[in-house]
Order: sequence, then C-alpha cells, then structure tokens
Amino acid sequence: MNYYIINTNSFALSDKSKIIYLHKSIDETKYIIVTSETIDGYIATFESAAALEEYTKEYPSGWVGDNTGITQEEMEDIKYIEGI
Amino acid sequence: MPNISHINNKAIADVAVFNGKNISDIGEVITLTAATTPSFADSFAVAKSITTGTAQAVYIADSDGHFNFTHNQAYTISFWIKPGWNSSLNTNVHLFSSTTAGSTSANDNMIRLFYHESLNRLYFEYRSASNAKKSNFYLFHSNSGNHAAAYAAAGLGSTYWSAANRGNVGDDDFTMITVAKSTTNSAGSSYAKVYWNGTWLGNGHYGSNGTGQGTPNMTSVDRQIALGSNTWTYSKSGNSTETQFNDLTIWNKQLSASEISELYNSGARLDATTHSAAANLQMYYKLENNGNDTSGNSAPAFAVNGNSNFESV
Repeated sequence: MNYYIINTNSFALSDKSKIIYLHKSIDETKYIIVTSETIDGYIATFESAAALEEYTKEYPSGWVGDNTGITQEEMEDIKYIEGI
Repeated sequence: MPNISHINNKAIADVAVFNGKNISDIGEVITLTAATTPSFADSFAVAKSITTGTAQAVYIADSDGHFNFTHNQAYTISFWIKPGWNSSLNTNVHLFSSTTAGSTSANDNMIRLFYHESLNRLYFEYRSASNAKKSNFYLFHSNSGNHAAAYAAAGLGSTYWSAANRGNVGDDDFTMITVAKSTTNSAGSSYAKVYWNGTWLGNGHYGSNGTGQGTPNMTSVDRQIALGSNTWTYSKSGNSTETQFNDLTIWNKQLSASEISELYNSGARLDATTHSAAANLQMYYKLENNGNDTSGNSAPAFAVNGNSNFESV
C-alpha cells in the first residue's frame, strides 16, 4: 500500500478504484490518500500508515479541525467510496 | 379538587343535563382523562470539553459489571445530543465509546457510535481485534437508495450535521440517537438498527448484513465508557464549541421500534424508569447536574472532568 499527499490535479488523474482511504484538507486543496496505485506527482509520500499518522499528529493544522491528527485505525475503517 | 366551570366547552351554568342526569342532581364528577406520558424536568446536560485526555473526559473508568456486552448479546444504547462542532471539524467525533476497562487500545471489546464530519456519516461499530470487527454507516446527504431513509430521518438536507445544522430535533435542540442490537453477530441493519429521534435510519450503506472483517469475539469483561470522546485516547471530541449530551440509557435487550418511539416521547425526554421496558434498563444517566446512575441498579457514576461540565439546557 502507498501513502501520499497529493494535489487535486493528481487526484483527478488517480485510479479511484485503487484508493482505500481519502482525506481532504480543510481547504480541499490537498488530499491524503492510501492507495495501491503508484503515483509520481505527489507532494509527499510516507513509508507506512504509522508514518502518515505521525505526520498528521505533528502537523494537524489544515487537515483536522480538532488538532488530533489522523490515526491508522481511521485509515483502515473510514473507507473511501467514490461518489459519496 | 378544582371547581368545574365548563363541560364540553359550555359554562356550567348553561348545562342543564349531563349524561342523562340533571346537573343539580350530580354531587361529584370524577373526570377520567387520557393517560399522559410521564416526563420530568430536564434542566441539565453534560457538555464535553473539546480538549482531549481523561482529565477532560466524561467517562466511567470501570463499569463494574454493569456494561460488558458481547458480540452475541442484545442491547440498546440511546442518548440525546446537541452538536457543538462546526463544518471545519474535518474528522470524526465520538458520541459513545466503550472498551475494556483500563485499556488504551481501540481493539479491546470496543463498541462505539461516531460521526465522521467530513463525510457526513454516522457509524456504529464493534470489534474484538483490529481484524475482527463489524460496522455499518448512515449517510445523511443522499436522498437515494440505502441512504434515503437516513436523509429523511435526519432532516439535514445537503448540508452536513453540525451546530449550524442540527436537522430534525426534539426539545431544546437535542437529537436522540439510538442503536438497538440483536443477538446476531452483525452490525447490519437487520440486526443492529440505528435511529434518529426514534425514526429508523434504514439499511445504511452496507445494508442488512453490514460490513466487517473476521468474526468479533468479545468477552464479558468490564468496560470503560465515554460520552463525547473515544475510550482509548479520550480524543475526537469535536471542535469550536462543546457538544452536549443528555439522558443516556443502556438496556439489556434490543428495544423494538415502538419502544424506541416511546422513549423518544415526541421529543420530550422521558423518565426512562417509567418506560414500558424499564425492567430491561441496565444503566440510566439523566445528567441532571451529576453523573449518577438512576436505573436503580447502582451502576457507577460518570466522572465529568476538566472543562467538561454540566450546563443548563
């Protein structure tokens, strides 16, 4: 599995069927995605869900409104479903 | 006994005959009225601080044998909520959570109801391990398919649930959220029914059988319980302003739709000890300026810590 921060253009080009988790920034200009697809045009990439969690906890501003970050458990449980 | 001034909207002086008797011959009238639904003066709710940690939590550290439901037990959890979060929350807020007493893991006999603000989904989930879990969710902004019932019940329209858009509410802008689970090991809508103000939210996204991974196998150990946060980090409590919770009831059976409607009581919070299923009331927290259980079962009290506090409704 791959863990990225991408922009809206990269998201538009991504294979939605391979995304299992999506989290938009509060201003909706950047997306955190967990996907089986390899994406080249990313803003940032992480080695693991744990590393991504750590990043969001260290820099929650802009991603979550309660300053808590995004946990691995959320990445596993809040499934991306295209269209809703 | 007050004096009677009118009968059937006529002044008593104008009524000559009542039920075939001259009014002057009637010494006393016993008036039978339709049974009224008992309620009580509900003056307070608990407001959960948006700050994380047990020092700010509204929680029971150990349910002391009163809350230890397993995957194959029936139960009902119901509470009233008045959201304080806004549309910038962009994550989930936990409404009700329980895990094994003393555990810091989300995977220890967890039962939870949480709302994911950025997706406008209300989730019910339970699990015994990270790979042994069952869930379903209810989407509020789509008036089609499996989501149409939730759309109608919540009344939020196309705008997501928040303090600025509370949708269909009962008294004092509170909404009663209820999950009633059967003995079947599933969070699907045939087995775990979720209600908004006593109205069933329908099949939910994953339908009658729900979704999940593996087979939860929960043990009947004591649990810690929280309102307004999870129970492993005591976080996910919302943003902006405090969310209020009121009148938590926990029942040791799956309440029927009519029993949940009775509890909703047309939006006026009911004294649950007068409910027709009161014999199945396991824990009852009115949160009337204290965290005490009033079910009669002597369950442990809620601690209300830090900036969390009781507020007038």
